[in-house]
Amino acid sequence: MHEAYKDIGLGVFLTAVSFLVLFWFMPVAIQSPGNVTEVALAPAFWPQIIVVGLAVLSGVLAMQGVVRLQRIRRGAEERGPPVGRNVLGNVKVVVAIALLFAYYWIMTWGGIVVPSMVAIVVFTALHGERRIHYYGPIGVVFSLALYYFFLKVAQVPMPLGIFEGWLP
Amino acid sequence: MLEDLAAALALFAHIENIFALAGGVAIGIVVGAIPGMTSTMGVALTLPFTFGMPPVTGILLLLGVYKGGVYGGSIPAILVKAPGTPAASCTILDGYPMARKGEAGRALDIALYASCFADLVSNLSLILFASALAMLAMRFGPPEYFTLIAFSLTIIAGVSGERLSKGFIAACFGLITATVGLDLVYGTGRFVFGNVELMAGLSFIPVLIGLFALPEIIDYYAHRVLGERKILDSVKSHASWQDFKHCFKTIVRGSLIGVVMGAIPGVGGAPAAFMSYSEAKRTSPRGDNFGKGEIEGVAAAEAGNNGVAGATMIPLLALGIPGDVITAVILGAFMIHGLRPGPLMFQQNIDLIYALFMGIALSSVFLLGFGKIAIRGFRRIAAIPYSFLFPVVLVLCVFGTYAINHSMFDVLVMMIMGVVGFLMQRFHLPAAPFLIAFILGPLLEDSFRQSLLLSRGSIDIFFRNEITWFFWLLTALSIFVLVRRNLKRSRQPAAAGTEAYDKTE
Repeated sequence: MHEAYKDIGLGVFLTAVSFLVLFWFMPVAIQSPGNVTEVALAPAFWPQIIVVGLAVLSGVLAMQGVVRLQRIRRGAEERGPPVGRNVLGNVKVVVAIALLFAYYWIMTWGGIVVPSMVAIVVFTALHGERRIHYYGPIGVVFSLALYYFFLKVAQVPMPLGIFEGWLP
Repeated sequence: MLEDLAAALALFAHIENIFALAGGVAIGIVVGAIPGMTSTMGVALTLPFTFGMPPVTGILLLLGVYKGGVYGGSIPAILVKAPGTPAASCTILDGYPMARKGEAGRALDIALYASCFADLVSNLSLILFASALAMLAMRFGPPEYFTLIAFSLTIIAGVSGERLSKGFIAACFGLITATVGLDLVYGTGRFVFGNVELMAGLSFIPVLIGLFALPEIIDYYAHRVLGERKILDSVKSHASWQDFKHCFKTIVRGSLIGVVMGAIPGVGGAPAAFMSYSEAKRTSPRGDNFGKGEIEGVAAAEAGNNGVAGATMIPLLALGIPGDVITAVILGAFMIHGLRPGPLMFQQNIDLIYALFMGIALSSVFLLGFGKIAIRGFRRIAAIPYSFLFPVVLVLCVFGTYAINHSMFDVLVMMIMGVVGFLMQRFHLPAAPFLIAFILGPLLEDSFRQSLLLSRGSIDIFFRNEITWFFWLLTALSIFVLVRRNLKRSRQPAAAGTEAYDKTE
């Protein structure tokens, strides 16, 4: 897909989202007291200004995309290389994002140290790194070093979750 | 005067003062170089150690940590795109692309030189113009802040890349994200949904780390061939005297911007860095190279944020008003030692003030020395393969983010912002305008509403004196230059596929 199509799509999508936020989401998400005397002082005033600005700018972006497309069709602008598809890369990205949130979820009950050790190994392996026997122990030592640095030097107690009591 | 100076020298010339200052700078650089560990945390953690020290020694230790921390943030910003401190977020824009081009050493060097020079200028401004700048800063009320910040927002254009509309869309995202939390005037919730952790708004550091460091880590899974060897070879590159000379004008301008911004309470290093960067981009003949690994961009950002370091002490020492959280902690240190900064202190403890000035002046030298050592140590990071470095950086970001508020919610915010940043990267929406808007948005809104409260709804308050007019004029001028430049650009034939994503395998 050419960049111009991407701009049109993004512009239209953001314009639609802006209107949705302005007319549906904002009245629900922003509590406004009844005794507001000045419109400009109302809690919703500033967010409304921003979202209206976003809607206008998104419209401009879509228009720019259309103009660019017309220029390309007229031959006034070169088409340029198409945006490449990278299926394997995209799958890896989706997996990485899923792992990221899994890492967070595990930290909520497993503490920060042990999941971090595992995260280093898993994320390194996802890169296709084969020397896990080498990087694994370094990851373990690194997580422990960080834990003790924050605990002893920075005086920040780190949560250990179900592993509480395992580390001195 | 001479007697006071002699008394100050007697107070300062102790080996423990020198060690405290040197140690503080070294600690500060290390703290600043860890993403999530801010200078504020460094100063706050060092504070208890100063209780048993003489006042000058203790305060110099804290000042050393502060100054070292401001510089230290640039090291991970350049090497791994994870700014150690908020002020270093602007350094990423050209520092990291330089590292990718194989010029990490050169970027680190110029960042250090610019930081030291700006620090020196800032210190001299503190020593020479403290009272004058403090008086100027005192004239800043909400309307003056509003006009200053409105002008500062024009810097978004300077960091928007080739598509201004995309830059401003990113800025709108930043502004709307900054509105999350309790409304300051009425105390009602905005996008809070009853969540207690959202009531205080989103913390700056998780947003910053999420927006800059995580997208790079995620994106690497899709494009893992990018210049891996280049960054490994880059450790040997250095900034030359020619480089420094080339950037000198930018460094001086950035330092002065930093001094003025630093003297105004509550503004901070990040806006100063972005303003300096934007001005450098606007005036440099190589302006089009900014954002692609231009050495002048690194120098501008670092000069801007380090120019603030000495100047933030101006309202503290001259008026007893802390300009930010760090100076508030330092104010605490003064009070612990029975001292109260302000005009009276200049009469009653002038020897102590001069002794501090001596130490502050010396801190620039220590910064240069320890900075050089730190570069040698930290640039080894560049030799670690990305496949292992990025997971390690991710874990470091998690620890650092958690440490700020002891909150797992902040870690979640960081991760969500990482995904948002990644999607923005995919759609070529620049992250820097988001960040600038996120920092300046609350200041702009608060000063706007406070002004209207003061004037009972009249907008005349925004034109009440020469300061507001000055900033309105600057804003108008900036917009005029911006529009003219874009009109010129639009008349030129468009380059083909300039934005096509060229990072596919």
